[in-house]
Amino acid sequence: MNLLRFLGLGGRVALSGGRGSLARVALMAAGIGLGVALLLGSLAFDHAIQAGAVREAARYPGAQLAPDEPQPMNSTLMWEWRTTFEGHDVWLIALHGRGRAPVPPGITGVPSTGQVFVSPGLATLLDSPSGSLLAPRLGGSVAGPIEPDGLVTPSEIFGYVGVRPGLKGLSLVDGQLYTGGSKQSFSMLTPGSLIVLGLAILAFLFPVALFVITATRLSTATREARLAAIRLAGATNVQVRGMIAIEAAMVAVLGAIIGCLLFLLGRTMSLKISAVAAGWFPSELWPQPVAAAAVLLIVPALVLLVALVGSRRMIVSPLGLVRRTRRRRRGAAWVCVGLAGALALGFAALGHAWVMRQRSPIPGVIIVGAGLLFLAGLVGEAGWVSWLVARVVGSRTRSVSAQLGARRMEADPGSANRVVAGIAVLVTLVGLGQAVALADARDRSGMTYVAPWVRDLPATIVIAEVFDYPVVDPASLLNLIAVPGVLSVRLTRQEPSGGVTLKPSSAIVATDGEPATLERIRNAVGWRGDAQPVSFWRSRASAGATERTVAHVAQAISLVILLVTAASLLVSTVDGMMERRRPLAVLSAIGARRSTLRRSILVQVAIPLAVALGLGASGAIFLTVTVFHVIGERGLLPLRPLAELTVAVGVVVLAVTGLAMPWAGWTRRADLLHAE
Amino acid sequence: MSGTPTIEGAGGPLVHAEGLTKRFGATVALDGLTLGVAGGEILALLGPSGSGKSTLLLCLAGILRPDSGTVRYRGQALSDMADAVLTCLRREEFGFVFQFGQLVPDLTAVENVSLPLQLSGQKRGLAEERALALLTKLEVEDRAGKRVGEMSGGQAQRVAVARALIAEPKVIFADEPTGSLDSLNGEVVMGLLLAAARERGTTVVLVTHEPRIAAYADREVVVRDGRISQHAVVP
Repeated sequence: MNLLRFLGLGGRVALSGGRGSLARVALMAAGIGLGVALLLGSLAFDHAIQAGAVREAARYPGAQLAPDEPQPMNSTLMWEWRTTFEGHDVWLIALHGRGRAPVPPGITGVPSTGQVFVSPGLATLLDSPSGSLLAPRLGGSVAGPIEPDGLVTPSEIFGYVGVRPGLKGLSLVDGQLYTGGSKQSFSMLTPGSLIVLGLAILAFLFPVALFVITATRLSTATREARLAAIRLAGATNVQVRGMIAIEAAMVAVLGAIIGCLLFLLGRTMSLKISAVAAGWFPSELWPQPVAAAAVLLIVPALVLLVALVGSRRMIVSPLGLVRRTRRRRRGAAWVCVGLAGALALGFAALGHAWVMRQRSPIPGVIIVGAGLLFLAGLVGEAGWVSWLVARVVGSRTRSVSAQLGARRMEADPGSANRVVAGIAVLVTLVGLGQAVALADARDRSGMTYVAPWVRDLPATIVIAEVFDYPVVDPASLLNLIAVPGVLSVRLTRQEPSGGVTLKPSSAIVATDGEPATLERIRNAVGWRGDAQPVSFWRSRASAGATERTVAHVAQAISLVILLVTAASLLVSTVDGMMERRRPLAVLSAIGARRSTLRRSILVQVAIPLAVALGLGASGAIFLTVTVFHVIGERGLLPLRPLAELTVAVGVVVLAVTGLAMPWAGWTRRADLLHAE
Repeated sequence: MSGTPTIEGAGGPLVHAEGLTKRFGATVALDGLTLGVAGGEILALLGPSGSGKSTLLLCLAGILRPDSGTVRYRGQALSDMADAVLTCLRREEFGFVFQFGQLVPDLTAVENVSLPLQLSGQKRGLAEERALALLTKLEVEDRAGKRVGEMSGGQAQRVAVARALIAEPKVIFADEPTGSLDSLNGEVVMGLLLAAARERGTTVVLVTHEPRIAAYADREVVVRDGRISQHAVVP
């Protein structure tokens, strides 16, 4: 048989098994497509981030002037000013050019004194009703816009200000020479953010992989019978494996095409979201061609490889298909692994004072190792626990529905095990991540640590801290009482970062809570056309927005993961019913009510998700408590996110059960009972 | 009326079908068929593949609704009954044995047998006790804790017979109950099923294409092209 004919035969075999085969191919391709789209999307964002980082680097100064050195001819001197306005970070670069001065990107020439070039974001802020409070900090009037090639993001709040050296705070020593920008770009993401981003991508890819694996199990019995029939008809084992490979290749190519289409669709739709449109230039939201080509080659190749490796464990004979796999239940061993991790973390929590005193990195490595051991144990034991719960429910329950559902899960725990392990780890990580993020948002204002006394102050308190004594006398902060909206001012020796100074260095300013009052305070002492000698600390209410953002992002990730997992559960539940349609039809014939079958599906879906949620929530709470105890921090239990996840899981259980109902009704068809 | 011959048992019809017609697309499975089955009677429906005997059995059991005609059980038309009532009737008055794939593969033998009782609301413990007793009577008590995959075809069929008998039904509908078994196992299963039926006075409607199996019946009816073509009382 020549190759083309064989390929054609393989393709026909893959698609000729009726609706079951078509559904299998379609769902596998859809899953792979989703994975490809996610990877292409990640690459597109990576490209856009890097392009932004290159433009940001183009603004950086290249050299420092030596002390007492005058500004050379044909040079540009720059000073960096940063301020905060109504929660927005405003970045200004003050420039002074001499001769044929190098021009930073985005503008045609170095602005002369009093000229300000603004980004569209800054222009919008200046045009807003409260913009008049920001205008004085610019030190000049708007002369024109900054072009997109000078902006990191389309909505960046950024400006170039033309200045004259010698002004207060604009000494030559503080200025830096602009020499055409840095060639080395700095990622806008910190290593920590990159790890979180990587974990988020993995968290998305994991349920997608789960979905693909579930889809490969679709119509297994029918497919195995078909392969056996092909062997019976005279095909060799190698030819049958070839047909399996053709099916995988077909699915992979189809998946890659679907992935490209989904990416294009997702890109178009996401650019309609204001946050995306504001954060990224559409022209840059494309993956690098080489990286995209790598994804489109590697993913199908991986799918093919997995199919071929999987087929090596199968023996297709004319009588049927046998898998060379051993059924092992090592749940108890994994419980021991998890317990070992938990014990190590527990001991570390009990002796946290000793742990924190150690200079050696070894205790830290041991604690991280213990955490990973705990998670590994969780993954390993999750499926087993779920199987055990199903076994206990199946053998003890008095309800026929629960018995049918639990026994089904006990007999074929494969899909449910994967779901349980995945969801348990994700709930644990999402819970712990939320706890860490919430504690971080609670403890930090900007990038600096905030002492507990600050976070316990009422929401209407602002702390002004003098950090440059020669410029500002802390006692002058008492003049803030004259600012409209300020109710009282009291000097303190307590620093917002936790220390205590010999003389008062900070002022606790009680305000009416209006955002404009804070901006007026900033204008009064924090901005005098020079570097900021006074820093402001937000009280706890200001951190609420960060907390909400973190919570929303975590909720969105959890929701997507849950949705993909629900799709996997639905597919495996429906396929299970299709594969057992005759016994189910007989069950209806002997008098099982429709509601009995419905409730059995509910139990079948609810057990794995409930076990996963229980294990995940316990894991999240345990890790939160121990990790925070080890580092001696007051932890926040992620109870609210876990409660929200519980509600979401409940909705998923009901939705999957509801969507599986039409098939449950279908299994009651009398023609399924025909023996002829 | 189609003029199809009607034979009723001596005790009057427990199940009575009149003028049954059933089509599957262009195929006529039943063509105006009329038949009565008396209480305690063991009736064999014979006929070649595709003759309509299984369709007739499913109509008699209220699983399949005929396009026209009526099936009456104890004088009540099944077509007048709501689905819930029919389900209840099948659970409490009827028992079923099919050729294959009839046991729930996820449940053990004892759980499969006790299902009808549990579905009727009996407590699981009691239901399983009775199931075990029946499995013992049918000599498969050693398979009580096993699932279908761990049983031979003959053992699975005995478990299915036990399930059909456990609720002490008035009528057992058996569709090719020995079709997937070798002759020896087929004889054993039929012997057990009919002995239990006779002991309890249960009516049995048996579909088969094997005259050897039909010989166990009190009466044989041959179905051909959706009509009764021949009937005979087995001596």
